[in-house]
Amino acid sequence: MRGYRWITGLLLGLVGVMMGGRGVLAYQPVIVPNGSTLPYTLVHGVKEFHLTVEEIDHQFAPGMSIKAWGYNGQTPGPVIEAVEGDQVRILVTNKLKAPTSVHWHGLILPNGMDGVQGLTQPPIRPGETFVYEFKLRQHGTFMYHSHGDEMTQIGLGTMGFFIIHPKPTARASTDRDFAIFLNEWFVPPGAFRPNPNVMTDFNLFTFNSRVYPGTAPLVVKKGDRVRIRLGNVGQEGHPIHIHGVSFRVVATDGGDVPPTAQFPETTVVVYPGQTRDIEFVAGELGDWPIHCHRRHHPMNAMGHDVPNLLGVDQTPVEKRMQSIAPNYMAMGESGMHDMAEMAEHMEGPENTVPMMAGDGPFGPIGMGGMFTLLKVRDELPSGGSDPGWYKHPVGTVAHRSERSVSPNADSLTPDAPRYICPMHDSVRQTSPGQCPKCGMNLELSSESE
Amino acid sequence: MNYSNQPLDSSRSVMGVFSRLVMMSLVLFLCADVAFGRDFDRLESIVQFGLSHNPEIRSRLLQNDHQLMEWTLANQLENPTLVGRFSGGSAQKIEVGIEQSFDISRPDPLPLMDHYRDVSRWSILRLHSLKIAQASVDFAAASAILDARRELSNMIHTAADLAKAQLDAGNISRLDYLPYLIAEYTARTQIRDDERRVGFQTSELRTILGMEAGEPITISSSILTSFNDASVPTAGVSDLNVEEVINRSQIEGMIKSSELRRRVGGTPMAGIFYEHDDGDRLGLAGSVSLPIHSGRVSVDQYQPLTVAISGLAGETIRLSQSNQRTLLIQSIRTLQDQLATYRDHILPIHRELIDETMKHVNYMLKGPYSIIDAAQKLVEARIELIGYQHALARAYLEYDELTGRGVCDPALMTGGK
Repeated sequence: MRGYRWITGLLLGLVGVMMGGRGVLAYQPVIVPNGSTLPYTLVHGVKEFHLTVEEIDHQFAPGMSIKAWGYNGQTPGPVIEAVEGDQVRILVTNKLKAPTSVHWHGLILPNGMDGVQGLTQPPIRPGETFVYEFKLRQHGTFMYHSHGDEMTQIGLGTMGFFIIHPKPTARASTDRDFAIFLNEWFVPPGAFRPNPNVMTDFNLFTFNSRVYPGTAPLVVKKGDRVRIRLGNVGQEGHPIHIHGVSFRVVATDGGDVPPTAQFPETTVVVYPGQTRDIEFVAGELGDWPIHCHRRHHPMNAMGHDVPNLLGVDQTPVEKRMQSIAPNYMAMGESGMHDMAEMAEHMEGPENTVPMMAGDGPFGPIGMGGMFTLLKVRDELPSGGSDPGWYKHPVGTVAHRSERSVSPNADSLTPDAPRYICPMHDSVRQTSPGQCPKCGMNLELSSESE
Repeated sequence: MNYSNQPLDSSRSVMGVFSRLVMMSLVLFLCADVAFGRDFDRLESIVQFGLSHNPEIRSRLLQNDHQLMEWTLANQLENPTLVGRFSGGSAQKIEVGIEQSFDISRPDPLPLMDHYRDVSRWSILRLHSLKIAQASVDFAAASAILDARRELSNMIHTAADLAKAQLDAGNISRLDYLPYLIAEYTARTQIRDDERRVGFQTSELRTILGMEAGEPITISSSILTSFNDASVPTAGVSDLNVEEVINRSQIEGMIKSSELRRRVGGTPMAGIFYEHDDGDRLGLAGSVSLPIHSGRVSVDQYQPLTVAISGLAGETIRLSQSNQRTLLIQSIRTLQDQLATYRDHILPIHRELIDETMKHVNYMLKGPYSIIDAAQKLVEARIELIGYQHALARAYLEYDELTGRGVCDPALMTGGK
């Protein structure tokens, strides 16, 4: 028996080395948009991970970076991936100036490994390294996060996924497996350090600590079975909606949802402290938005005290405002779309992403925050890179109809040239001229040409 | 900026300024301006205009000359001296007679008259030029504040109009709108206050410049800013007041008189010393010689006493002026520091605040009211700055009044550029 044990151990060790070297994996690895997976070392059959918690420079999107706290140089921290039944050892080194600990959220483990500072362990003081070791008894999507001074430490980004893959055949395999961590922040426009004391009025909402247009797309092949793991240790619930698919919630951080309990959804709410795994088959080609459906969450920084100027004709005061601030341009009369159109032409506060941003193939997308794209293609580009904008087959894109009944359109004959203000889409006329709102020269619309 | 160690221009003596003003007054005397309405951009031009244009000043100069002439004549021609002559020292032969004579114990009277005339003219011109300058800076400050308040009022109207548009569009309630309306009416009343203040200052200035009621007058606010960087005066020997100069002359005259009497004849004479005050604090000294012994006090006792009293009075004036001068210098330094803080720091920061607010408005992080609010704060800071400029100008003028300097423009005044 002892000889068999030795041989078995040797074989397992070989498998472990191969897995540690990423030669062969017993699971479909998770794809982390804008993130990474934490490597491990197999030490006598134990998967050993090393996390370092520290202050980091983190980019939300091009043009905006913050001072965050994270693990191994990133927030969320790198995904810890393992397999149900693994023995894991996790070394945590504290490079913060404050004590910390790491809680393994949702895991069933010995109480002394739960990572609650002061309750189940002493705090990890600055400069110290603590070791956690336990056996993974379950599978699913879990999280890890600081459990000392959570308002500050989680508020600044000390969180990450802990994904335990099931033993083979325990769960249906997927072709593409993504992980997206949800969080919200308050970074005063023009500042670079999040305010962790804010409890409700957040101004930035992130997928994997990135805001659109800084969020990476999820690229899949048509017909792929796709899993998206969503996690949240923030302050607010996020109804995550995906266009163009119908999905089912197949698991929570409490375990798998039996197929008989699953039902079709297009939106799933992920509350603080929860994870949700959704699965679907990518059946339709195209670029499909994934976003939080709270209206201001797929937006970047917004002012909480901006006056409501909808329907307010500012023409009488605009000139007077310009005598105060020469570059003033009236906005908001017909909504916030002016922002999307003008953002790139106007100077904003330092280190701030415009509230509505991003240009698509048809113009400004006007989104931000918790927004990204599911890109479904017939073939995937090599290396998993962004395939670019979807090329719609002819005749499959909505277009302007000459049968419009709007008064403005009726006054124009179908063939008449249209001159449109590049800043104010509602300003149109048949002859060249200047926009009465901003004074810019009207441009001949592309449809007329 | 530290203004505390900048020296006073030593080339500007009292007499230098004095002679310049006298010459100026004579020239201006002959060329009074009669143009209707005036625009001024320099304090010197206002003072020149006022000195030449105001009939009251010309009248005062003429009256002064006239009074001096009368006094001199009376002193010289109506100064009967009872002379008793004793021969041999035994009083056996006594000659008694009334003689009209000059008091040879006093300095030559004609140069003295010229001196007093010039000094008193200087005093009149100086006092009026100071009044003109003070009224001018008061007017300039009030006008600048009125302009700023109008600017502020326009901003408040803009905010109120915007709020009204929001109300009409149904975006805000009347409850939200009413504070804007109150602010608008309040701004109007504040403008009225400022207009009334400028009206009063205008009237004062017209009077002192000898202008007709209703005659338009504008003064550039640059006359206020011209004081901004003037050097801080330092106390020195040259900072003597004219009154003090006169007082010293008086004391020296008494001493010389006493010595002369002793040297000429040793005749026992009682001296009566008196001061003449013509209302302009012009101190004049004279004496009437009485050859008859008063029997109450001897010359040896009386004259040193008079000299001592005069000396103590002069010392009292000097000490008082010295203390006031020190206080004023401290005020000027403080005001310059405060002014520089507003000009070099607070106002630029307010401008930056507007720029930063504009960036937030561009990104719809703030609304137009935020710009208006930031701009209002800038104007309010400018009003504060005008207040400091006005106070600084007044402090300089007060210093010049105290030290007996004339006012033409800051370059001629204490600490001129």
